[in-house]
Amino acid sequence: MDMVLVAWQAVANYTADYIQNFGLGIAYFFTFKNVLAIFVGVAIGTFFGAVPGMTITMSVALTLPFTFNMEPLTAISLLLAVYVGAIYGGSISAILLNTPGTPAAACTCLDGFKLAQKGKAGKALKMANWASCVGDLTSTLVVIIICPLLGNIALYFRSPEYFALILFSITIIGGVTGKSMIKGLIAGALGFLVATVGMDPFLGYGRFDFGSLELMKGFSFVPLLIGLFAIPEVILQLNRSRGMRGQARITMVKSKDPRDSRLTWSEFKGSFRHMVRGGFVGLILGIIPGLGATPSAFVSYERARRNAKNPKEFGSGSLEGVAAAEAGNNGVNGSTLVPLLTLGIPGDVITAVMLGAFMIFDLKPGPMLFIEHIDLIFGLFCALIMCDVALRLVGMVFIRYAEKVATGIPTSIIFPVVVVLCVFGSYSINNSVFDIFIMLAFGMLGYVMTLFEMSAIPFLIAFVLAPMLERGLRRSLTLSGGSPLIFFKSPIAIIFFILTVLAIISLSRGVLRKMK
Amino acid sequence: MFERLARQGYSLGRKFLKERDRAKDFYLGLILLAFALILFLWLIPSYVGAPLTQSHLKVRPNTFPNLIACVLALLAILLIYNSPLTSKDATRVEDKRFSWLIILCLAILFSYYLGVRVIGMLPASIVVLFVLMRTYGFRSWFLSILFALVLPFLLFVFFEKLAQVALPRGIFFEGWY
Repeated sequence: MDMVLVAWQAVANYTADYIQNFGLGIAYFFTFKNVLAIFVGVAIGTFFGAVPGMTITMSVALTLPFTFNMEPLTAISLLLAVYVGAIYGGSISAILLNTPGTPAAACTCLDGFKLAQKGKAGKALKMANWASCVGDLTSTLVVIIICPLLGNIALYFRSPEYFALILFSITIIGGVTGKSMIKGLIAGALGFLVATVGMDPFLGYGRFDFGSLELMKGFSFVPLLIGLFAIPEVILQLNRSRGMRGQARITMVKSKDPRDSRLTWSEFKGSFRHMVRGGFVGLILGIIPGLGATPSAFVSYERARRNAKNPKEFGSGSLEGVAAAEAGNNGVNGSTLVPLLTLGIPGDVITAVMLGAFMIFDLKPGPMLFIEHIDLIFGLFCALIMCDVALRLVGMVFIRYAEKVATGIPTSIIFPVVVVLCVFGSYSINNSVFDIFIMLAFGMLGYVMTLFEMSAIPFLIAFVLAPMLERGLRRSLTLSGGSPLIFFKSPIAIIFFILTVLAIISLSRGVLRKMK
Repeated sequence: MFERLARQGYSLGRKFLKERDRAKDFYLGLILLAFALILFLWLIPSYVGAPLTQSHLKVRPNTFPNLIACVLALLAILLIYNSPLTSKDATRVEDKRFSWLIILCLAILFSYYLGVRVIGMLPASIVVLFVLMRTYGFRSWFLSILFALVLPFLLFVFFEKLAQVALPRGIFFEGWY
């Protein structure tokens, strides 16, 4: 009886705290500036996402320099909104041009473009918009409920546990991004190495500074990010745009029947379960490091096909297919924030960018954030919900003018502008011209990496996590007097080590099977 | 394992000389292995600062870099070992990508950097934006000039006035505000 009473009291306390904190978050978030940031962010994101060749990462990375002088919550809400918008925006060009604006929208192409060819582009665009909203909202609501609970668990993480966790994340991220696991891990190792340039965090001795004061400070995150993710695309697009000259554009099929550009209630209702399922798929895949929007869209699509009334329609223009794919890729929006906020570990590039933004504002995501800045966390949750509202409203405007937006702007304007934004952005973080050079140098590195089919994602995430990894390693070893056995004394660390080994085995088997 | 490596090296060397086929992974592995060795034997001992008496330290500034160098060497060996034996399986370097356009693009980018140093952020951006738009194949002269003038100016205003970032002035506008 006592047990029940204690449990009941715990639940009641948690709920009371929760409601109080949510109130704080609402008070903190709902200002004109923050709401405006969300709307502007979603619009920027949708626009960039709709332009083929602009990836989600590029959109967020190029927005980042504009946020340096904002308040932390406004800045992070803006970045979040750009991210949510870009994932949705990718679907617009996927449906209209059969070119996914972002890799995450590749799955939307399958049915979306078929529908557009039948003259039902309007219907598909509206379904994509609704599915994005519903999918995102589903996973966001679950995240809002569970995230504070996970924050409590994260309090048990100390140096050895963090070391094991980071090792596990990098293994997964290196293993699943790109074609080869070994190359992914190499990219991760290089990222760790690049992060050691500068002052040693414990004793203050210079490492790889070669006597240069600029290098002694270490590489800044923003120039590195912009260089790695924007410059290679600029170079590749130059080749493509010259090759494309004179090529005919895809002609749009226009239907005269107004019903074809309207979404009926029964169609929405028929796809609703796929949307919610997509949200849950996104929720689960988003929490696991390294996965994210693209696999989530395909898994959600596949699940929907198995459960659909007429699965044969899938692939030849099914509205349910569009709904499932879009709900899946938007479902990860909220859940990728879970490992970031609770443990301070980014699971993908976007959350790595967010971590960079947090660090610019001297905030350290992790369990302490839940104690010191609980209003910020709940403010972010409000931002996430607001993003869905904005997505719906901005989406409505975009669908009306989508055709012009997605097809109207030539690459010959977009990419030169991107170059200028890159230079302004990398300069403004530290007011340093040297950072422009760093940005270009990492751009070259990124380009060389694409030539060798190496993904830059593990590189960037390893770069961000390196200080934490080194701290975990050195603190643990100092505590234990140099004995590595300390890593095997903590049950949580052991679990992560076992998971790492299991991940390596299963990933390398998968790679081997693919090679056969 | 060594026999396999030697055979692989031999057959690839022959292929390279005869047909100039390239198996990228093999060479990437070799380069990385060499890099890891250079790190371990030269760069880390000479360029990682360390206290003179280290005996009291359990973990040193070079522990983490050394660990990474070892992991990198291990991964490089794995990459070489796993790289396809014949050039048929190997993904070839697409020669198309090594066109003069790449060189041109890099030249523009690095001269942009030098331009910012010398003539300042705003003039350099105007010139580079115009040149890049022409390089990407934008047709209209008038529009590209207009755009190249307007956008950098807007960005300049944003960063200077709203974000309070002092952009590099260059030799022409030194001391202007």
